[in-house]
Amino acid sequence: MNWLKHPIAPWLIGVCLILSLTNLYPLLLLIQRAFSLEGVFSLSNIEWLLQTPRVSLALRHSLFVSLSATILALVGGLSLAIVTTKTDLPGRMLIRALFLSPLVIPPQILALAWLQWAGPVGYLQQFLRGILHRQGPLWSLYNPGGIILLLTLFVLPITYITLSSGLSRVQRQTEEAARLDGAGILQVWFYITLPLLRPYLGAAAVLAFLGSLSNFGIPAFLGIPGRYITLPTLLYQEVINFSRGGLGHSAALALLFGLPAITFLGLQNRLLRHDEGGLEPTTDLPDPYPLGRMGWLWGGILGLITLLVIVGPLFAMTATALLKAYGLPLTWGNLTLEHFRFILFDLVRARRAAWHSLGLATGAALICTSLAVIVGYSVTRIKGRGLALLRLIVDLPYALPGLIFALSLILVWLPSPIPGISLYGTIWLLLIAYLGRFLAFSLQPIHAAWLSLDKSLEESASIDGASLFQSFRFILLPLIAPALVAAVLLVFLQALAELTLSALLAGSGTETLGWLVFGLQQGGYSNQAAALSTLLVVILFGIAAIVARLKPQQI
Amino acid sequence: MALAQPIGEALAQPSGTLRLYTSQPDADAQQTADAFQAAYPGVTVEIFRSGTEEVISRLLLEAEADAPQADVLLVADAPTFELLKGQDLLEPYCSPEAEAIDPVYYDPDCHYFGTKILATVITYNTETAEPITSWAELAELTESQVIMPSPSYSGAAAYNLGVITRNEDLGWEWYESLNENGAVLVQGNGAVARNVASGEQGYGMVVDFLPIRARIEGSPVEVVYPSEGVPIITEPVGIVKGATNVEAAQAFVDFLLSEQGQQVAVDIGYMPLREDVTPPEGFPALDEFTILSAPPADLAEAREEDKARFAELFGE
Repeated sequence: MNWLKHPIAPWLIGVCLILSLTNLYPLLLLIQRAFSLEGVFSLSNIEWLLQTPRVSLALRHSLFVSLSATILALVGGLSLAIVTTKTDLPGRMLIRALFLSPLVIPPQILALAWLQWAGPVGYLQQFLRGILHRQGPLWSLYNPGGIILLLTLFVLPITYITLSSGLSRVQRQTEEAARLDGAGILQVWFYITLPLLRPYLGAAAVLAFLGSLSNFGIPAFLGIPGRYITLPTLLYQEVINFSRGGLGHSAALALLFGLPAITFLGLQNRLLRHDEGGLEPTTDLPDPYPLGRMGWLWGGILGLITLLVIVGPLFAMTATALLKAYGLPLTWGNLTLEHFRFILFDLVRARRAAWHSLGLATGAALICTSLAVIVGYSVTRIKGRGLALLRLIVDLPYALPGLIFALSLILVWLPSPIPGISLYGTIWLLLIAYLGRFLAFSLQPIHAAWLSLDKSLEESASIDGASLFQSFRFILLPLIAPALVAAVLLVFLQALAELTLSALLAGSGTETLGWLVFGLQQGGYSNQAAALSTLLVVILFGIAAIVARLKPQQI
Repeated sequence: MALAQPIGEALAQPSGTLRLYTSQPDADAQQTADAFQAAYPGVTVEIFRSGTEEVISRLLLEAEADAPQADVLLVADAPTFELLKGQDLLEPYCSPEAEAIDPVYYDPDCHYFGTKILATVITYNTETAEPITSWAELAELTESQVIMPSPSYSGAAAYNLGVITRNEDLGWEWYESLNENGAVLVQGNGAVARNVASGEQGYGMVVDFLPIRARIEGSPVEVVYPSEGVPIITEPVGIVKGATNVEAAQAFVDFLLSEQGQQVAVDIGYMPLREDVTPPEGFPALDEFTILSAPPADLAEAREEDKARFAELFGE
């Protein structure tokens, strides 16, 4: 038990106690359910899992769409990160905010906006049909391609934020030294920058993969009409099979989400095995690459892509929010601000829900980031097998669809695990749920930042007599600041519009914004749901503007 | 208000907190609760509102942990309540108000009572589609013009599947024909109503209040109650076994079935069960359409089997 002597040990033990309740216990209960039938140990659920052809079909489909989306999101996120952190491209701040917007739009609403933009009767297809004089749909989104495209857009902000925080740590000196030695810009990228980015690429890949794998809204929206079954949609079918009680099949399916997640995390560990060290401790930002006249060309191309994949759907969503009724043509006479008025003034719960969501998102962002600093530091500085397990426990709840994670939380908190404290049905249970689910978001970028920070720093600080707290406060935390900002932002934005956990755990007096969107959408109030989502995007732009002012180019 | 009443009666008034689990749209649930609280000022209603599937999942887990958190449940359809009754999760209560209601709408053993009529009908887009009048015509429409919720994901669609496949004129052949003609499946009724309103599909099979509301707001849709009849779900109300506030729960059941409570449903925009209450704008009168039905207990028992056969047929 060597690690107990490390000054971080007491902190780590505290974090582990919290994690055992927020993450480990719910996961263990699911495993127990998967291996039992009517309360007794049984392998029948596992047999069902192995013998049902639909299960393996759904698994293959899910792996295919998730891996494709991960690769696309890595390429797209890296390109965007380079453009917005390392060049002087005009309009890069606006592009950044636009690509972040899918984070605050619930997936169901995002998919709907996409259909209204690019679906068979969407604005884009209508426009192109007019130009091309063609009849009938030009393309369909109800297929694996459509699912991959939307999953990519959904996880792109995650890879983008993670990789940006990494890129802003790749130092000017390192690159300039290489270029003074005669290396071309491509050589510098291939031999210097990308290898230095490796921990961040790994972090981004894990988050993108787990996010795509566990997403229910997008495959439900596009896959059910396309008759393309995936793991999250199959899991939903099993959960609503009420006549077969006890969640056995659902819990067994949940195991299937865990396996690829474990493989992926193991792969990431292996790739990062040897010590990275490497980065010089300075917060100087590199000069942007001047693009000159080419800037306008690249800006134009990027602008066109942004228009097609982000601005178009946002336009469609806003149009729905402004139209008097669903399905009316977009003409001046059909527009109204009534739905916005309804959300802002009539729907009393909207204001309460907004405060709840803001509070929960802020709380979850700050707590997750603090926990992640300690966990990330521990797993990079202390050797031990148990710590790899710790990372797994942090990441797994995010690999599961929200529905099954929420059900497992009910199992945990209904007979309260802490005697005398009952959190069931209170807003604190939602906070706990958000912590469990979103901790992975803060851990990945922060872990990557610790990996790329040289150990010599804290060693010299400790030789100079600084306590652990002092070296964190004055030396280490300022150096990983970009990753901290990325972590806070990722958790905050995701939590702000969280939908599935809230749909099961929110109750009387604990409404959240995601819950409200869900309720409006389900009750047939599509225009109002779109209005609320549009307001959320406006809030996001406000936050992005503030962050840009506070920390220019840092993330 | 209590002062105006004799003391004995005032003491018998229910009080305290009533915990309601429902899948009614948020605003509707609140309106129902407000009206009940106005009638019973001593009671405060706490609502858990979510999708039908979420509500039932949570209720079942709470029952399993032997810690029921709900007093009263207002959700879904009769077969779902049959299932809960079969697992002994409901507390019977024979409401005196049930006398005014046709017995087909409630459980003879008093475990649950229908509260409104949600009929599954045909909706079509008035700009892109021609009117039709029957389910038979709907199944003949080719080239993926028809959209409907999938029984694998929607409880209401699973109910329709049970009723229609047990109907002599429609049966499984009706679904087979829909499949051959490329009917489009979606997760729920909301998506059906939206897609028909936007014209992505010309025709939809959907619960009636969605297109009726959309039509009133101005969407280009029309509603048809098919000539063969319509499957109806009744969003029953039932008292949860182990409820802590049984008096208030009983008062809530009485209230929903009373003339006053049915009028609240009408004001929100739902079709009432009582014939002495006039349906809201846009709905036909109760005697203007035929109802397709099957025994709820049979439907509950065969539901998984039916769903599996459907999923296989449609290659979901």
